[in-house]
Amino acid sequence: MEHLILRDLDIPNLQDISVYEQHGGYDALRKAVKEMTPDQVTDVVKASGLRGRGGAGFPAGVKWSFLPKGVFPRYLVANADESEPGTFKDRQIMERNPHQFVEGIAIASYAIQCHNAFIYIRGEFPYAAQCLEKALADAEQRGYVGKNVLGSDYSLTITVHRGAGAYICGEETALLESLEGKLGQPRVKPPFPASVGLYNKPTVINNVETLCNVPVIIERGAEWYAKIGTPKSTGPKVFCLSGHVNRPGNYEAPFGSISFRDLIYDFGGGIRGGKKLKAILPAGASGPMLSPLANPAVMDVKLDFEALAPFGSLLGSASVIVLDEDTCVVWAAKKMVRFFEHESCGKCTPCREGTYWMSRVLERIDAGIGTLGDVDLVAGVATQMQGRTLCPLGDFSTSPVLGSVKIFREEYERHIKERGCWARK
Amino acid sequence: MLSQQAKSEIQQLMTKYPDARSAIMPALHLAQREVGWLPDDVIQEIGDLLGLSKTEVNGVATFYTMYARDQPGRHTIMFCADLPCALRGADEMLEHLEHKLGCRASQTSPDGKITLQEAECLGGCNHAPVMLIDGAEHAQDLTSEKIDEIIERLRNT
Amino acid sequence: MLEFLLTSHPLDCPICDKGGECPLQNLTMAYGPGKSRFPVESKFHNEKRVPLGDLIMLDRERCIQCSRCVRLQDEIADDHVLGFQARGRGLEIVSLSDPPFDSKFSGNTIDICPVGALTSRDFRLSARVWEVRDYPSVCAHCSVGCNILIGERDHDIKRIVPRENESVNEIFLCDKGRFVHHFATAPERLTTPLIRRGWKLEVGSWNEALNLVASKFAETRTQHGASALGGLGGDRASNEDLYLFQKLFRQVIGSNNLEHRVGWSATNVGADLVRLYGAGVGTNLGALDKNVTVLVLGADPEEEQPVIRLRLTKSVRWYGANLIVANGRVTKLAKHAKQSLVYKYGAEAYFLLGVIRAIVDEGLENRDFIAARVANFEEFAKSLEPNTVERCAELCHVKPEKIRDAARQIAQSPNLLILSGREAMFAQQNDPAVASGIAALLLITGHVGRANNGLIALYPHNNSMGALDFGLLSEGGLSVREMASGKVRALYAMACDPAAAGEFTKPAFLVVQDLFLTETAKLADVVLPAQSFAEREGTFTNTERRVQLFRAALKPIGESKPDWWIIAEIAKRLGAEWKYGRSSEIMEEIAATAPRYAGMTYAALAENVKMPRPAYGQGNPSDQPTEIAMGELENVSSGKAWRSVAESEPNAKFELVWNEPGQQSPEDSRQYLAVARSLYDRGTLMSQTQIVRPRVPKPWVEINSQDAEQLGIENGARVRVSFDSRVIELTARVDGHVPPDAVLIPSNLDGTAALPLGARVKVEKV
Repeated sequence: MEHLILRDLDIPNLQDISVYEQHGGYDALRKAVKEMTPDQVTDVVKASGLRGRGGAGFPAGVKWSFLPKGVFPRYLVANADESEPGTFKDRQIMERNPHQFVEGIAIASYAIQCHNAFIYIRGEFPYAAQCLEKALADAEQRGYVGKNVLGSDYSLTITVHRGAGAYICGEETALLESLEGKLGQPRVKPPFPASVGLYNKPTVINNVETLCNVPVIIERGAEWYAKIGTPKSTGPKVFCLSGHVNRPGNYEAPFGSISFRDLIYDFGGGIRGGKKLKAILPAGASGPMLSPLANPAVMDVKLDFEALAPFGSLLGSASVIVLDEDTCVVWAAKKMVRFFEHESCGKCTPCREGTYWMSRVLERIDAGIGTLGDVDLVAGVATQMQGRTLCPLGDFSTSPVLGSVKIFREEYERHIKERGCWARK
Repeated sequence: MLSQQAKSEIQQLMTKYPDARSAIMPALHLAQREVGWLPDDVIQEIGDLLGLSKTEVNGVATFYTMYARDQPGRHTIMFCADLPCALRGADEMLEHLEHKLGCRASQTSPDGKITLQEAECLGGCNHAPVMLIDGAEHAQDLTSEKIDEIIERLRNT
Repeated sequence: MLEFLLTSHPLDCPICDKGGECPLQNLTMAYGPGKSRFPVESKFHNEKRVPLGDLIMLDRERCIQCSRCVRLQDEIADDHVLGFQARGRGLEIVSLSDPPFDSKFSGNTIDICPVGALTSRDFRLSARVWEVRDYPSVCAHCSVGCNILIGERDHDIKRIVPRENESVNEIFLCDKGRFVHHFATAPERLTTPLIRRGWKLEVGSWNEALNLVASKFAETRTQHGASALGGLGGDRASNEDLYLFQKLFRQVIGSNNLEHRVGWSATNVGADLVRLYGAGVGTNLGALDKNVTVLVLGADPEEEQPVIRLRLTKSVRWYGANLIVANGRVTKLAKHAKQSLVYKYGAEAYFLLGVIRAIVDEGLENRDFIAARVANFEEFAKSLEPNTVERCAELCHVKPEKIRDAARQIAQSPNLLILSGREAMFAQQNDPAVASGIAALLLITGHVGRANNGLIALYPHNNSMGALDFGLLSEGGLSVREMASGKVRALYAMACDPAAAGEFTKPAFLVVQDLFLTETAKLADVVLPAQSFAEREGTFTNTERRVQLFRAALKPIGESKPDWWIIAEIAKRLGAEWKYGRSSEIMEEIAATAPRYAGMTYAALAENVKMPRPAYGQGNPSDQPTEIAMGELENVSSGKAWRSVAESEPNAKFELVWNEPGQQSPEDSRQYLAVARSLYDRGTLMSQTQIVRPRVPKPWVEINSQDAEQLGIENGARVRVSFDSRVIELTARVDGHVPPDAVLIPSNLDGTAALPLGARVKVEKV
């Protein structure tokens, strides 16, 4: 099947604007600006059922229509702060198919009538930032962005803003704070960014992949698009596969068309060294761990936003990390919690103190100096944190602990009883 | 001290945003590229340009991990040790790297040439393990041979 | 959550200032388990002593990153001076300003800090809170009259904290009120009467001193008549003192030479306007909503009445009050105004006249009110004829459309408060039209006689209002300047220092009654040691006319006596049959004889007891209000305000008085001198508190950048300012706070005492 998002896999040199144009690039923008009103664009995107690809899966068109009427200026911010461990789809898009992203921003900006759009890109992606700058310069030269887009009276400036190393800035209000030149700490919601966002103005924030779907929808129509995927999760999705597989990478497939089994054994070429699968992290470090050992059915469920709920997990941004049979889950949980401890912004107490605390306990257990009570303690701390933090980071940080304790409790206990890690002995 | 050109570039940046304060992060990036790190006087200069106090700029500079408030070596390596990389041998690579450089993470090699930092996910999990050199260049699919090669190159430049 | 907060909180409660009134400690005691699940060796460590400014010490280990202090500074104090740095568990509070923690409200962060992270550098480690006994009192500095608790231990003031009064200061206090109290227990305090023998002032007994004063007063009266005696009663003294002081002069001596305005010479301070149209009882400056328009005229409350600035800001931000700020310069409050108008200094009257004229032109006057209560509207309206809005606009340098806009907002608002400040009062001195303009604006719009309507005059000191109430004004008598220049043969100076405030010629006989050996006291024949507000009880009347009771907290220093006692003793020796045993008896007499103060006895002022301290020290919400230390407190109320004529006499008719604005002085090439005040100055009370010394600014002169360019003056340059016969040298600040053709100098700093506001000055580069 042809790629709709990762089109660079089908077309060489797609980052070159003339190549992109030859393959129908910017036709969707032309169609939107010349033939459609902003509200029509929003309606089409609404009708397509496009849901945000950043993890939460909120319908994009609905988000756009939340902006309060008549309040200007408005801003569009493309969230390219892709920092979830195991996620690397946006980077590939920005480096190799930047124009589709730029076109998506332009169409979305037109739909919400914003004249200043920002791309907040991770500081760790210098090359992707360069690619975007180049793409924007080329697009401006050909009149796709800048003053009077395609000769219309609509003007748009797109600014690339580089982050500087803070996972939390992927959270949309922290991202706005950061873009305003402050410490990237989440705001208390409500008010939501749609009404009080960047510089206290109405703001739409969309993920890179989400925006890349927009040109496709405009070009081929909502009806065509909505047929891809499942009725509730429409369109194609990019799955990031990493960890102990033979062929890690980005794989595009319609929602509800593939299972973990397809992804790992078909796309990913199976587990490295022919080993057995032990566990899957479906949403980077943020989603609770799944394991066929606990419930074999998980391997064959067709993946969409809601598919993993019955298994107590979520698909999120579909960053699938695979762990083989020789991996120690205590060590893996420690790694992930340490990540969250490092990335906690410090604004709210449960996350600031809880990640610090969980990290200390997991270090203890991993080093073989924990006590049997520590397993309940770390799970208890995680439970205390759940639902009590300002933003999802705090909740996410409990996933590696709660997920792994639930499935692999005896492994924790073994660590404590044997005073060390079985996998490293 | 910032060059005149850097200062005018920062002033240019300030006009790109509806609120000049937003230029603080790009200004810090720019200053770090020019000076190599962010000493106190540079923080002060950026504050003066943006109309903010030194401590306000410092607050931002200390929140984000990519800004160096301590003087690093000539090169900086950010090494990812997160789970996806670790599953593909990052811990061993890091040990190798530490051995090779003669310093631990968050330290600078004794010859003062290379600073080693542990980073959080660098978005290259499909080519793990990954490291970022001088905040500009991704080195992917690392092996100990590849690391040795890179270190040699960095030591000589 | 409590457990999370405690994971890295240090276990140093035994040496923590907050211990005993710490919400975290209280909550832990109420709900916490006895044992921690977090091993002590895993605790996160951080810096323990970080000076966050001159007044506040930060303990980073105790901090729980709640950001209350940051938010208080941003959202309530409106000083963006605190912020965070770093992240995660290492998140730290830092001061963003230079000088650090540059806010007049920094002390409030100590109160609201829920742990012992922010502590007072003054009080720090000097006493346990449960050993400190709190006495309800009233701040003795500016005219806001913030309610305070004096924390006493071993006859020393350990600290001052705000006492909640929603009508006056809520739970806030400015740093001057909180920290500047060391004068009360300073070693320089006078402890005995002093009598001049030859060239020297020597220690004498009370009896000797009082006999001498009485006999000299009697002798002067016999030889030169009663009008050869004069009295200067400072407006820091209590109502009881000021009442007896004027009674001594008017009834016992028979002289009308009475004044209080030492150091500030505005002849028209709007006392009559306040009496007639003072803001209605029940006005709450901290809770004015969108139905109230507030016109702040010629005032800088940030420096002069800080807590009023804070409360107005709150009204604007939280309740949407419609604030209009008009002054000759841009003040901090202007930032929050819906409309900030900068008129030309000296043309204040034309600004007011323009607004009045615009209201009449558009027919926005309140006809019903005028018909019922204004006697002469028609003639008044007619007298405005020559002064069109355009003419006024041209003369006061405010655009006509802005004047009209302000006029509409003022006239159409259901409520209007006018806060007129010191600069407006000085303007009235040069131009009586300013006062009549304020009155006319209130009357033609009918904005008097109700809560949230009328005039608040922002006076300089804690009891200026009381001094005015008891007639310490030179009506028919000599002025301050006259009394200070030797026009009287015997002068009685109580709680004021005329020699430090300007030229002073010692009269034949000089009695000074004060806390310190002031410049005037050094010249005196008899010096009488008075008691500070902390050693005695009494009442002050604040700038909103609220009479508030304060209680004694300390034992008297040395042989010092309350002012009222000293006055009464002198009166007795002059033959009066005064029998006052306690200050409450004087207030009973005032309550019985002065109609405004009717019913305001101590008993009445001690009603409606509020909780003695705000709830921030409490942990358990189900607890009863905190008992302070080990005290049973004597009660005090939130005070009572006296009613203006417009309120108390609903049928009274008012006359619109019209004074044609004074002729604009011909264009003078010299600069107009605007005089500001700085909260921290070189005053007698300030100089005793070491900790705030660094906050007293070095004197400067603000010059508009246009003028500065013409004069070739750069920011930071030394300049010479000459006026009258004086020349002072200052550092120039070139900025946009003053309009062209004016310079601004803060008074009461080194070498800037007694500046004549509105004088023309010459500025040159040194």
